Amino acid sequence: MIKYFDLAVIGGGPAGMAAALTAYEDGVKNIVILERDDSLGGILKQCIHNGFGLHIFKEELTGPEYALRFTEKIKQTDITVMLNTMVVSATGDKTLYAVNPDYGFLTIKAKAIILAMGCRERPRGALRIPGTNTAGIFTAGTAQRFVNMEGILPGSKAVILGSGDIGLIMARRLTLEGIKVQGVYEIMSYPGGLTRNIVQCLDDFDIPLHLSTTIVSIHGKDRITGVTTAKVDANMIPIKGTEEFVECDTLLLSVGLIPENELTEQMGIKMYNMTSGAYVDQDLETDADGVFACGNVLHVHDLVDNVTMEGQRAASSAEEYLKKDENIKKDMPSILVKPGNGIRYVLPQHIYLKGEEEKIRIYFRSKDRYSDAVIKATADGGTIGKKKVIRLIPSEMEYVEINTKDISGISDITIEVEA
Amino acid sequence: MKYDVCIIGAGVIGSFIARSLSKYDMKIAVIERNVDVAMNASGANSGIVHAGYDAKPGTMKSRFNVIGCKMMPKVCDDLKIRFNKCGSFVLAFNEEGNGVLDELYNNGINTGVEGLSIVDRDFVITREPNVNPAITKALYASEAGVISPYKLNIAAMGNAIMNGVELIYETNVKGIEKKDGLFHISTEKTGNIRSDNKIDGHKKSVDDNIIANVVINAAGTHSDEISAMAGDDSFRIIPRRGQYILFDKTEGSMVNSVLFQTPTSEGKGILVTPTADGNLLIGPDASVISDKDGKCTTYDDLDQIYRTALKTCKKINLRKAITVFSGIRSTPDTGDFIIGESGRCKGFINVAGIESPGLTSSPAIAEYVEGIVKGILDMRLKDKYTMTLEGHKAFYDMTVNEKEEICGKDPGYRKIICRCETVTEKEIRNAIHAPCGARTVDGVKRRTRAGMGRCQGGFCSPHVMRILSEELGVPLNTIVKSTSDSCILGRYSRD
Repeated sequence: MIKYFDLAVIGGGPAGMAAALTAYEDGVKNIVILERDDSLGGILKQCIHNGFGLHIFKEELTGPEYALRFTEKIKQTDITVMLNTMVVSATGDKTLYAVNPDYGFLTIKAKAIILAMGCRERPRGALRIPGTNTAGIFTAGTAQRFVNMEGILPGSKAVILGSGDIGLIMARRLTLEGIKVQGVYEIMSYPGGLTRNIVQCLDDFDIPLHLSTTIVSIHGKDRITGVTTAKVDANMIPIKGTEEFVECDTLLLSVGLIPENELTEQMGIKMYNMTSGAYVDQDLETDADGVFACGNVLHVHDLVDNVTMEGQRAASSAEEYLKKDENIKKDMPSILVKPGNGIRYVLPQHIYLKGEEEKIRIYFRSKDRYSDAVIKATADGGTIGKKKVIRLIPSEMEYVEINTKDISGISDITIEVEA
Repeated sequence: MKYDVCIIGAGVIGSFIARSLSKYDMKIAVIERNVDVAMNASGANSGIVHAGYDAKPGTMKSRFNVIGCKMMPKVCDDLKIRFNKCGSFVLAFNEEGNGVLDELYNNGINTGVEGLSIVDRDFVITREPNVNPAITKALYASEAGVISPYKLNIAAMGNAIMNGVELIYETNVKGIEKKDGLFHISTEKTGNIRSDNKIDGHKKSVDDNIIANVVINAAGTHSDEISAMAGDDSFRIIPRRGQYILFDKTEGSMVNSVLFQTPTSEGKGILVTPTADGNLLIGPDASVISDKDGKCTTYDDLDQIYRTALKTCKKINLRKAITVFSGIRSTPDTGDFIIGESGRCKGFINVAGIESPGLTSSPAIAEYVEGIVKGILDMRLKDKYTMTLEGHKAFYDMTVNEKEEICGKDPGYRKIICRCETVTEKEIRNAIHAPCGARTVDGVKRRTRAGMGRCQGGFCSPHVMRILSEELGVPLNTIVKSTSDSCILGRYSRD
């Protein structure tokens, strides 16, 4: 069966829901959300802690509450929501193939597509943590699902590797469920998660955080019985002689999130190495005409509020695109945005000069921690954007604003930190 | 319970022997200490069908390798296992290596290996654009290829079970006694995975004393201990561990064939190969260990494997690794496979020391052992038996039209459980109900590839566990990962 839509949004998490709603409000007709789970909301459904929505709603919501704000609104629209629908493949001409319980195998053709598939957790194997292959090792999000949605605990004594936000949240969650959390171990010299989570999830519960420390071996035959930890040097190589055995029956991994871009790559879309997401312009449009990306599939965010806003931006761009019949960008000058000193990645990675003046926020993450830093956007030796920040850390996304009137005739812009 | 033949061990050797013997009208039991088949060397190896130029002519290794390699295409066809006859190269990097190639080539020709040739650098680079350009020459074997070793093992046992073989899981052999020409095997349960027994082929041990006319020892690393129980301590098994790094399917086309390095004075080298399922695999190293069940990986060895693999292909990207694992070879102290009726115990057949090329040799060894048993027992073919399995094409491998058709017919295919490998709910339920079906999360993974992909079960394991719990009729928190005691979850939070 073939179905036609003006806009297909792949993924019904925070990015996809915001994108579909905004597109609808902007007047796009005939929108579909393709969601693989049996309800909308994405990973928010299992995030029962609070802290969501401070920017968008100016109040503190739990994950399910935050999701509900959007699902309730979507219900009142005529956006088509296809649940339990998995897009299994996609082609560059905006054709999607999906499996759906009602229609079976479904072909979807859309005039515009918004990619909002989110991300997945980095598993043990990707880190090649040596030792035995035992039960009791979970990614933090999988454990969160078991505890919060299935009501089953992973074990009774846990070690957490990595100080990403989900790991920190789970340290608190497990403690509240009566599980002894032996410690959180982080290979970097600074924590991976938000400061507020370090304070509220570890400090408040006396859970030790061991920086510059990693796990060098996993023990146990059937179920994990413990781990060997070791300090690492400046190159993150374990230091011999610093090994310590830590007993546990559960190991949670919070060691990074990876955008789920298999479909994006199948569509032949150009990728950006530093984010593992698509290479996009200021409209969040990929190099495939009419295909946009937002949320964690584009780059991993630290706040859901930012994901929502990015979904809204992608939708506005898609709406603009749908109003026009041709690829209007192909003849426009394109200017590269490059990460300079101290910057890990930038977004967008290039900017089209559309002829009219446009203020553009260039989002970025730093490579390291800085205090009282100045962020500069430079082009041809001149400064075209500047921002002072009291504190700059890799786990918190920042942005600097530029104006397109300052960049005509130049080939690239560099974003850098001046500490 | 009395059997004509009792096979100890449900690895690829025990399973193929069970399959060969299952044609005959007799009662056969296979005793396996684990929860599943292919839990040791058969489940964790390189998955290579070797051409057979390696082993010395005249040895059992050489003989069964060459025959096994010739049998493999038909066996895989019958068992519906994908055999990717991608060929293999042994790469030389200098004059010393070139000399080794000549030796291997001559060895192969003397052994009767077909499709062997020494090829120049250009030939290799045309076929393998990502190979290290520093190579000088290579030995090409067109008949070599890759298969999924555990799928082959599972299929062989599934076939045997269809023909009436009883597989007794989670049972350890504690002693073997011969009385009045009959073997009395005392056993002990190693665990008891709960299941309401509605699944085919899940035979529980009925008593702890098994009686058999003929015993076949296919107990892998423990085969020397089993043999000693029967009074034959003529050999020892030296466990040798090999470690591997497996990469994402995105890396699977990095190489097109099995790439070995010539063994040199610097070391044996390691292989770089596509797997039958399209991943990239590098390994194994070899280290003698003391614990026969000491399957683990180590930081230094994995690092060494990666660095050695770079010699074959500089583009291998560690960021694309999805898992690491190890397997333990059953290296015999005799230097060759030990196959035959024990000289010290009549009716007791050792099939031991089956290290590489054991996987390739397995169907040939089974045929040979069938002949030995025929010499001991009076055997008649059954009126009805099968040597072929019904194939189920994986959803992942189907064309758009095939997917459309099967989804139209069967709603079970309309729910994707594993995102990375596109495995449907129906395929998982089928894998549980098949002969030699899955009872563990890893069992489902090895049969369907659910959890085998880049997220390594992060998303699908809760769903796979739910389906296992429904089909086996047991609570969710009793589902195990791979062994009897590898429970995945703890208590319910409201208990």
